[in-house]
Amino acid sequence: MRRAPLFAAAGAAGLAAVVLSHPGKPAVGKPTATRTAASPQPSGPASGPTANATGTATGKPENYGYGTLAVSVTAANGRIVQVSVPQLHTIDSYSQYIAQQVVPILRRQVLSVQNANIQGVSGASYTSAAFAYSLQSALAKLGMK
Amino acid sequence: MTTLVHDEQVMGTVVSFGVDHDRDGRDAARQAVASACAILHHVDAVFSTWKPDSPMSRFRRGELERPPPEIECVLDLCCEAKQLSGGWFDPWAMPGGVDPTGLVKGWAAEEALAGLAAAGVRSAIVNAAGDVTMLAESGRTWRLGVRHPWRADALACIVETAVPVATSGTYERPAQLIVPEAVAGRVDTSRRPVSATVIGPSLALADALATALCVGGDEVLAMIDAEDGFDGYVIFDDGAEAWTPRFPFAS
Repeated sequence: MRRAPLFAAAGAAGLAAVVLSHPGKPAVGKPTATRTAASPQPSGPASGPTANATGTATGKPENYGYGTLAVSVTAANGRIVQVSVPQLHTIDSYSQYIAQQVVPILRRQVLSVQNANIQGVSGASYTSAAFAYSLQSALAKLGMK
Repeated sequence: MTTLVHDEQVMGTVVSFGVDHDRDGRDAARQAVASACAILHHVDAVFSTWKPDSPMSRFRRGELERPPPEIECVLDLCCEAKQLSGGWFDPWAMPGGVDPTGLVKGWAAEEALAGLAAAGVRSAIVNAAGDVTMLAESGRTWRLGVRHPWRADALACIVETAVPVATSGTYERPAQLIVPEAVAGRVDTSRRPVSATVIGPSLALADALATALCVGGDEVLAMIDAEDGFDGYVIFDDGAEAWTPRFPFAS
């Protein structure tokens, strides 16, 4: 089960970009945070991070259909510097499915995302409401939402 | 020409925008994205099966005599997708009542794109967690990677296209794909799809067909091949791949 946290981190980068997209607060640290994340305010409540929130908090474990996950957020001076999934428990059949998976080699060459010169990736969605909810509760503990 | 990038957290996932604009168009692009995001939040409020009070949840419980127009429109598309897929995509076969979730994300991305167009945007891409649609100015194409099913950091292929792309996979959520009872006897148990990509003029239908292809494999691929404007690419659990002849692989 080593791959799941990787997906979660990828999702976190996207979510972090949302959280960090406040005018005058250029994001640092995360690859996607360097994108020109503009901030047309969504229709939801526009709440900014507490200016100096620092520390780490783990959100409420959420069920996501194949198990539970909890998202951990580390912030320094009001900015998210790391998002991870320290708790990820999958139902047994899924864990076995992954464990037994002998990764076959595709006929077409495996391509690196880095050098592909692409404008997007199509794939099964890796994020879930559970991820978003747990992230929200972690942010709340840090006083960032 | 520069591109305004924005990620919106909505519908339990992240929807990414890339809106091309010229030097004086940044504010207009921002406003366009804001209105498209408002559309997504509205769709979320109507269709969420997570929220017990959403119109969709109430409709599923039989509390609404007539569904709101958005739900009617999506159910019509579901009907079309069920027919196109030979019953392999069937929202009425879901436990707990009709569930259009397999099509709503693609449909929502199209609605958001229509919102951008209505606000004057001429070139943009909307990526709803892997379901991608675009507004292309004459002749423009987009290069999109299809995620490798066993490696989150790699691509299985690149497509070059000006029409929408949807991918469905069992590698993230193996239990999500429910086989409709009517077709269960036709499942090929010798090898199972792990990733299915469909391109076509409607992202809502492509999204549904990708789900169907991920359940039905070769049989559904043949149906997609027969359908004008749609093409498919499927990866099986043994690493074998199959695709329709016109699938737009880039190189």
